[in-house]
Amino acid sequence: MSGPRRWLPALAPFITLGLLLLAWWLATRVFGAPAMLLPDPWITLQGLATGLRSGEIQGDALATLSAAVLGYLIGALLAFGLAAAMAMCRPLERMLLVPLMAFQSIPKVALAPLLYLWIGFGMQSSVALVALACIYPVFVNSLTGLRAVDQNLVDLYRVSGAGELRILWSVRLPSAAPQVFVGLEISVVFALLAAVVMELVAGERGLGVRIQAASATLDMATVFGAVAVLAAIGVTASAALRWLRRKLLFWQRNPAAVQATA
Amino acid sequence: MNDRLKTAAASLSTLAILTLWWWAMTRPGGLDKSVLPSPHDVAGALHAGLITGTLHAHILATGKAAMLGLTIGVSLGVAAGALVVLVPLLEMFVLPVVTAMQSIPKVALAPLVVAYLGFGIASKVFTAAMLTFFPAFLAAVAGLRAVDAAHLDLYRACAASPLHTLWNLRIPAAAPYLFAALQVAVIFSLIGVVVSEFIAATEGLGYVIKARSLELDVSMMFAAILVLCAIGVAAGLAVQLLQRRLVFWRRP
Repeated sequence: MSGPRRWLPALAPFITLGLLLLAWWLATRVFGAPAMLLPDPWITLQGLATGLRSGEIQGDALATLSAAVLGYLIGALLAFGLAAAMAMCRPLERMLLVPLMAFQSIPKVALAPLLYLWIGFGMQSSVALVALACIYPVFVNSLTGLRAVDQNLVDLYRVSGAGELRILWSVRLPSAAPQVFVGLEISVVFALLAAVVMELVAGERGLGVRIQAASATLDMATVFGAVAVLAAIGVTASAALRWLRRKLLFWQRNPAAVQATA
Repeated sequence: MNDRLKTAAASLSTLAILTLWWWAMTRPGGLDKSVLPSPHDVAGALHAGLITGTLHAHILATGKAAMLGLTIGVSLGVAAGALVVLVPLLEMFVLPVVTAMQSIPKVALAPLVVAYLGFGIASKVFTAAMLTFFPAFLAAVAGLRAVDAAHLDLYRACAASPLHTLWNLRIPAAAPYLFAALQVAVIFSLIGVVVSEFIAATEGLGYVIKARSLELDVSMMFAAILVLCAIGVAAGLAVQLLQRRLVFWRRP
């Protein structure tokens, strides 16, 4: 292994991004795409810098992020609790599994107008939509993981006099964790998606509101800047969760397969 | 069988409890129709929408846009995925970027798309195609690579052309992956169309949900959401059926 073989794979994605930026620059500067369609990269960068300096973008990003994080935590905890209860109590599983699968068939974003009618404008409806969007992926993966526990180990704990809670914490949770993380990783993207959709439909503030308002006035530089911030949040959040998984599940070596998300 | 019967009975009892609760909440003197409509109101709205036909044009608009977006997005995604698998150099440059783009909420671009393409079907189709491209692309990459190495060697030893290998070996191997992605993409295309209709449209189920929310006609919103669910479930079942037919050698 010598020379380019080693550093090229690590550098390649950045070369692609550089080429894309170059194409963007060429399209605006050399081929003269109208600013109404494609903003100048330099102007976009300046707009982003101005927005960051005035704190507007941070404020919007914080609004979107806090709604997404809060909803994500509520949805994930609810989903995991439900999965744990159903894994431990067979009648409960019988009662709830089919209704929950029916719930999955609702496209959650379609509920956005209903939620703001019920809960009102602002962050609370974003949080509710995010929580609804996050429940199913976490729930179904947690249940799969919790069910696949080694029954012998559970029996061993039980004959040693361990209570159900102790078994949940020491046996079921560690063994289900990799699968739970699959659900958590899918939900990260759904959380951002739901937060943005709610803001597009009826938001007070947030990156979605910023994009919506700027699109209406064809202020493309602002739109591109806000989308870039959103992209950065999405990529960072996913990377953070992968890092957390590696830290928590240090015994697991194989990285999970790439998941399809919107 | 006994087990199944028990599950069915338990599920039905949950459903009955929920319906009873819904009924009790919305009986005269309970919650107002503009907050939570009674089952009777929703049935009435469904009747008006489906039998009388006020929803027909909207169902058609949403369905058409979703179908078109799905077809375009999945075709482009599979083609791009195939290209990446066939040209190894491309993989290094493209795959990490596309994988990272997975974690970007692409619906945020919907207002931009509407600004570019207008209120008509074009922006719905574009948004749906944009969302469905990614699962199709990644499934194509994963699927076309999931070929048995021994089979690949055999084809190579017999001097099969790349196109021949693609058609006879790689595509059948990728089929289960592609169908799994199609299942996801069906829902994504509906999400894309509905969000686009929320932002600006003159017809479609998303438009109905948004417009009726301004008039506090919650019954019709429920009806439109139910129809949307039904479309999603029906499309998912159709994909499953197609998969059974086409990928007959592998039971899902």
